Amino acid sequence: MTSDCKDKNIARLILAISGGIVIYWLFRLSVWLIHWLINSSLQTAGMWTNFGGFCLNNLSIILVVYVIICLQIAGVMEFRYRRNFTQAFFLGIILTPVFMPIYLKLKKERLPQARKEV
Amino acid sequence: MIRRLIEFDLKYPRTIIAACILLTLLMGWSIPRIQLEPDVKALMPQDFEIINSMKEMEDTFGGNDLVVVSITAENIFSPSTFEKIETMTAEIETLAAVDQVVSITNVPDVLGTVDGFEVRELIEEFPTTELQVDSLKQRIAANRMIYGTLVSTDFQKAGIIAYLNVASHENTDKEIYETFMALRHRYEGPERIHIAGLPLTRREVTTTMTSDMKKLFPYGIILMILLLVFSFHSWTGAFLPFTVVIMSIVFTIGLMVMVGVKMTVVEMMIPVMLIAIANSYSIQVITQYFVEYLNNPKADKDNLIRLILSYLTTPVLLSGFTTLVGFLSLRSHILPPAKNLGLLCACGTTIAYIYSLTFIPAALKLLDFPAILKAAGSHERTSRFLQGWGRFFIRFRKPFLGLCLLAIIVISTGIARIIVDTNPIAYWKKSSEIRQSNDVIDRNFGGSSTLSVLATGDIKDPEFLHKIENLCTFLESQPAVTRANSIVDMLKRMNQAFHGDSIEYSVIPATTEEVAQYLFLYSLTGDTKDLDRFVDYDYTQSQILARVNDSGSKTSYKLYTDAKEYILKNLGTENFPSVSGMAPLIGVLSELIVDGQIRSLALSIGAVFLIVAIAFRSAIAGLISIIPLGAAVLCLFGIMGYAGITLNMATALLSSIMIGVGIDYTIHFMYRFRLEAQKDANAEMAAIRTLITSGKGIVYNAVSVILGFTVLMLSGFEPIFFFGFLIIVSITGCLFGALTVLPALLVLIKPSFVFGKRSSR
Repeated sequence: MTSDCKDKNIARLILAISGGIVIYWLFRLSVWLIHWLINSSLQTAGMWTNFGGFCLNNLSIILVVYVIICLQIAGVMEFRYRRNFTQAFFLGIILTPVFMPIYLKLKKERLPQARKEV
Repeated sequence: MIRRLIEFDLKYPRTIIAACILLTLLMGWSIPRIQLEPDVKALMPQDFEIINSMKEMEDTFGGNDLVVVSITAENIFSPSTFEKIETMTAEIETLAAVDQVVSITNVPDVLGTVDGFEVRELIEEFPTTELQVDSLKQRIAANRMIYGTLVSTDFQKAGIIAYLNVASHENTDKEIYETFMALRHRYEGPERIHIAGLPLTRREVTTTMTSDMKKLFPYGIILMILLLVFSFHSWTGAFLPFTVVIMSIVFTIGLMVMVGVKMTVVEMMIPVMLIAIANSYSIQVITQYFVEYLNNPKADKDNLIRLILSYLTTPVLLSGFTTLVGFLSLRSHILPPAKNLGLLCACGTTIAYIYSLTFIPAALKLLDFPAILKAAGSHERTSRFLQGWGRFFIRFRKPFLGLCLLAIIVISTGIARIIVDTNPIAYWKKSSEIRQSNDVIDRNFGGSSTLSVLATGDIKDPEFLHKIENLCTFLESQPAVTRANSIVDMLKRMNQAFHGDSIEYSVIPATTEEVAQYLFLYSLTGDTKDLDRFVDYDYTQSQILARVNDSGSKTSYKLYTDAKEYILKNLGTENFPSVSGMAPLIGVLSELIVDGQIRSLALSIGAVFLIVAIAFRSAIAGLISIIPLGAAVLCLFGIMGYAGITLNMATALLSSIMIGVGIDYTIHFMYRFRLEAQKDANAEMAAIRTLITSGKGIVYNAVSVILGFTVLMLSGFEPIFFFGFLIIVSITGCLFGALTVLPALLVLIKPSFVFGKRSSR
């Protein structure tokens, strides 16, 4: 077995364990979410009002998740479609990642492989 | 070993990445079990004398955890206000966490009768006429246990004191807070209601900590991502250092939970500190990787990684080591949170360093080169600015260094003005509701802080009671003490009532038998709970409880030492073995902070001197390296003194962290300067070349650290806000020192460790 093959196999095994942990946490999170939804629907304020309150209370966490999503989408734009990463990142933040397909259509020219700017 | 690690990196990149992910998930497993610790007692070493004394006193006489409710009305003697106080008292009594509630409507008063005396409630019927009100006022003024404690001395405010009987405050603080706030909401108007007390302060600490954690960490992350995007303009450059920081934070916090460390206000800063500091190693690796690729685009990825790691390992290791020393110097601190923070941040930076040499190269090997490649710190404008900057300061080096020395001397005179403050109430702004409520209670009801003295002996012995009385008189002569209560006050009142309320009998009973008789009579008609707070069940131990209305650290410490000295000189420690309470705790804590500050500062400066002296094989190099740091430390404390920023649990950690972080700039500068000077013996040219090469890296690193720490200024805690502000000031000071004082000094003295002995002469 080559070292590359060995590397892939060990990594797969470790990632499978990691995947198990992530699935467990997602399960716990969904249980918590269901409980929260049931509790909030029982309250007089209603689910959407509670949801609004939840969003406001956790605005910073929602913002950081949003920025990380924009970062990943800009990464896809850079590596898959060879687009300007910074431009894609800030467009994603300002216009939301939903705008990305339009950005791809508007800006058709691709950047060359590893353009130098020093 | 490093070479082996590099080869392993290149051979098994996927395994390394997967292992890092798994390690992070495993360490993150325990994070949801994280516990917050809002209690000020947790800041002290648990085997400390004062903490043990407090625990003993609480076991014997019940906790001194109390909540004070202040009711301000135009006329507190009106029937409607009385009714309100009575209803509130009854409601508070029903709380499970409350042991005893005392207010003007239920406080007992000893009244003389034909048979001796009996204990009745002070107010059996609400006064309706002015005459009755005046008579009540007179009775209140004559009773030391009520006047100034339950009714303010100007008769404008009435208080309700709830003594809590809580073994653990973890689950009760929230309940107490919510109940008291609901009570206030229900009964406020037209009377004004203020509520204060330790359980409420602890609850407020927990609330502010939760809100801070929700704010500081996410905004710190956003700021770091933006900085990385601006620096690298590529996903690789932004995402990889971000991942390293997240993984090191998860590792550190997971470790903290695993070893059972609870999160106090101090440990809360760990994630933000790691955001600011831990990304610098990965940034250096990625920057160098991009630079080398741009210089040699045809080079093989493996060779590029080998190349950068081979020459980055030593300087990165050295700067990482000095940062580690800065954090580890906090281990010399006496206070557990400072020790924990030092160790955990050291673990966090070490793991970030390891990830930078394993995870980052592995990821770089698997990833394509970015579409636009821009190494951080490749801006021409910055180079031109630094060149001009260097020329100016080197040209006017003598007057500049003289001016610096003068400025340092002037600013450092502020050190004498530094105030130490460890009172938890100072965590919030003066305008905050919690501080205002506390001020009202401090001013009108004798203060929310206490000092307790334990007296052991025959409590029924009049001679011993006289000693207690003398101690109370001494304590009351102290400016910070508003009232010192003990069993003596109750016995004097009983004696007076027994003798037809004659004022001349307001003295300690003459014989042991009389004392025993009074106590027996009291137990027949009164509630023995009233005595429990002052004497134990077999009358061998007694508590002297002084109320303190100035909980400043300096006053509290003076009060504590004065009380101990008085006992030692006049009463003997055999009968009065311990002095404790919240006021002594705050006072001693402040002394420990100053002591820990001096220790950790001396240790970190000494360690930095040694590391640099060994690395450059020159004691002069060690000395030169600590000059900008020493100057920054002096200026920092001077600014604190002049600006009135207190030295507290958070700001006391500043100097060690500043030295650990700030020394990096000096080391990088000196390394490069020596390298440039070896190429060309011209000191001025070497300094300018150093500024435009390493200087740029130093500026970017410092900017990223400063930006990382700015989020601390969003904190709801004043000490953390000022910590954020001061660390920005001090890192800026270190940066300024490294880019101005250091080149001017090196050019002026031309040290032998750079130019050799001949050049030096």
